[in-house]
Amino acid sequence: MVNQTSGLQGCGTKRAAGACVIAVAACLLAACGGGDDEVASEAAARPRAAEKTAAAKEATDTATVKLADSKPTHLATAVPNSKTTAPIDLQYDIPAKPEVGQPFTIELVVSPRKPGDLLDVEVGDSPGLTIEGERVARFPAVEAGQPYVLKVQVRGNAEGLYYVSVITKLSSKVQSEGRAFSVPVVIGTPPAAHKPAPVRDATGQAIESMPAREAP
Amino acid sequence: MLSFANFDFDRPNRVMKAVWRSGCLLFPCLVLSACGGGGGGGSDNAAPTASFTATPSSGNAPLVVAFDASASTDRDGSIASYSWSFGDSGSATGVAASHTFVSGGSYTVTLTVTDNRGATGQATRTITATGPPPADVTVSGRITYQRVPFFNAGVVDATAGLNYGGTFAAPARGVVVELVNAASQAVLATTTADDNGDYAMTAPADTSVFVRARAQVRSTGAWDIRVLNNTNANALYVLDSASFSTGTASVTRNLLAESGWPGFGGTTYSGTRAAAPFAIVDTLYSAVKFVRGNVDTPPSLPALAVFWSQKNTSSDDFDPSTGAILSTLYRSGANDGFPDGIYVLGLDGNDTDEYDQHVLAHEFQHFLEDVTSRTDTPGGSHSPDDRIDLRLAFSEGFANAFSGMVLADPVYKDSFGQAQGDRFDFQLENNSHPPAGWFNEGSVAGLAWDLYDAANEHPDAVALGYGPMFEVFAGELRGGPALTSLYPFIAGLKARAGAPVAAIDALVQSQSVFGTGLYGVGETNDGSVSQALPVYTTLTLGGTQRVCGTTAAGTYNALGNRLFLRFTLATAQSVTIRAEYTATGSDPGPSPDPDPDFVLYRNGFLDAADGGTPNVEELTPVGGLAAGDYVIEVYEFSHVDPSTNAARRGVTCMNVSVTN
Repeated sequence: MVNQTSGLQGCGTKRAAGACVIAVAACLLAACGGGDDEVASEAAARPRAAEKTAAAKEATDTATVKLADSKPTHLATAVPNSKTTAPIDLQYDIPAKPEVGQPFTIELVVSPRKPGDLLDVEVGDSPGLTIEGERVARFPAVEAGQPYVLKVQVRGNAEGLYYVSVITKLSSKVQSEGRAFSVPVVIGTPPAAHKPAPVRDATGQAIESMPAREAP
Repeated sequence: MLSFANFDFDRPNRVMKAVWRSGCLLFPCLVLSACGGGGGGGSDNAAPTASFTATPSSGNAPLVVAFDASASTDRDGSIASYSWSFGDSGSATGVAASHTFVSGGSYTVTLTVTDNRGATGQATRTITATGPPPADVTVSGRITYQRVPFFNAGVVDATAGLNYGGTFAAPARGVVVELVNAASQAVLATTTADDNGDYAMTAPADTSVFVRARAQVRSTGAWDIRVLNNTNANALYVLDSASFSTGTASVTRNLLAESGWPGFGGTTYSGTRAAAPFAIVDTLYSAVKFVRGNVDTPPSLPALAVFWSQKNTSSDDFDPSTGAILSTLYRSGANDGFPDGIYVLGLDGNDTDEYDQHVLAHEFQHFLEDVTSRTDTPGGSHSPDDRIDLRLAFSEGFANAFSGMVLADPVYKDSFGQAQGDRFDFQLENNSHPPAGWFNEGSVAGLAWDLYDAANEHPDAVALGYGPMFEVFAGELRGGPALTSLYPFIAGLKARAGAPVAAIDALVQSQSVFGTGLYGVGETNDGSVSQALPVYTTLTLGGTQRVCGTTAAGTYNALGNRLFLRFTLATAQSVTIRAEYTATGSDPGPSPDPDPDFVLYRNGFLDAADGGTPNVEELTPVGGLAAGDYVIEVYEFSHVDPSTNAARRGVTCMNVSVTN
């Protein structure tokens, strides 16, 4: 079903769970808290747990890396760990490998973790990407845990790693909460980036010098 | 024989295409003087010979010396120019020059002559001026950075993001300031800016230098915080002035780190975002000062690295070298090749946190918790609306409250979106994110804030300040038998001498937290997840208890995913701990196979049994267990599997036992 208002292809209403196959975002590492530390420090003492976690992470990463092979049932999760955020999760899929100059589709699945009167989604491009068509979508009367799907038409302008910005806002009569996501997109087969050696000061510390504005 | 026939003088880059002939690379010989004498001459152009006289070459300061370079020669041409460097930052041109050496010292004077075809030659002489060394001069000034405030900062307003029109110059408090020799890059003096951003350093006179402010605050043995660029080899951000001569009198140099925003009407950053690292380090400096100003025995903190890049974004992988950092977060001990520290988002128009002071102070609390206390949190995604693991709820909720304490601002604000024009925010003063309870980080944040703040409004009649809280973190929470959660925190506060126990209890209950003591005994609020109570199930040696996990509130870190049991050993002994799947009528079985796992704690992590064996997991700790209190965290693996698309079991029950 197409959201006529936005022009973006979307469910308009929630898609059947079986079709969108959403698992609420879980986490590979720890959150913005010492959780990373917790997972990491336990990993050494808990090899079997680490193996299981690694296997799980590999599965997720594979979905991210093998863009051309990924299907809606292998949606990658954007931002598995985070600072305190609004209760909104995003998964995405890029069914075909993006190439320079060729349009391609990114399927976004937004899942609010609590109900709301409105769910607004706005996508934005970056220097290497152009969003074609509408950039905003609106879903009314959203339910907690349900997937809201939209398809974004994108064209890659140059080889490289770029990000599609996805801004989500969940509103109700008493509250509005939002969260930003970045969806990584690799256009073509960019060569390995060559980074120049950083400048170092007299002590050998790598530095990044920034000019000051000076005033009397 | 050298040939120049193919050289195109309008296209000097053609030199790179020169061919090797007669044992010499043709055009490099021409351009780089590799085959000739002084630099710049052609291969058949002899370098000129520099020679000069100095009259006198020594004497009392101030010493006036006349220099004459007329003896310089060029055997196949003529001298085109003369350049003098007097060794005290002075310089001159011309065949003859005069210079006054104001102060005592030994000066190396260098003459550089250039012939009519560009070749150069040099000569040096030492001039000795007797007398007092040059008087030092003072280089002073103020270091500031552009801070961008929020619109409508005092109230919850999701539409009120960053207000670039309100940008103001804020002092770069406590940053390390250096005076650097412009020629050698040697650091001549180092100081730290005061809380006005003011600095002063003593420098040698007549020296070419520049002022460098490092995005670093430090106090030896107390704190050391640096902001580094994770997409540029972890380079330290520094703010540099232009080079100048220190001269012979005091010099003032004021440095401002600009935000890079183009001004009114701007929609994206257009200049160097020099203010960002200084805004970050200044907020963390506030946190350091807050802690040190509110505790009896300030902690000595290890060095903290903060990683910020304008490329940092919340993609779904962690590779800081590319800017992929998941989110703003604190991490340590990951042992994955990436350094420990706080990673901060920086992508313009999406989510960049350098001016989001609450977010930064929140992460500092995680650092503080890591190095001065302990956390047992499983981590993971979380929001104030979620029903989550009690350890995560406590760690995140308290960090939110801490940010409000540091900033004296109970409205937590996190900007995002186009032109950073939106924000995620909430009010600490009253938790508006139901359901309230021990599993809600909003409840924890609201409680911690009300326990801290001086304002007394019903039901908040408590104003403990931060000191007792830090004591509990560094004491009961760090070394206590219970998992790190709201319960031992409250118990610790109530145990402080003179604590207003009744008022604390009233406040706690106002957030629907009813359990008491280290283990939340008597808790009746299950957050609509019946399996989550009791908070801890008591286990006796030789006995068995049945607990059931569920994904009703989510996965990985949600309320009910992980169940907790506790037991006490009166004496040291060998024991076996066992968790075994037990079917129930409502159990959906059979896929995936039930996979009980558990973790054993004694004042923190002790051991685990979490293999892939279906149905049962067993652990007999080597060497037995000492007498004391223990906690078992048990879960069915599919409930906590971090894989996004993992198949999950429904309610799954396990029998847990401890036997000797």
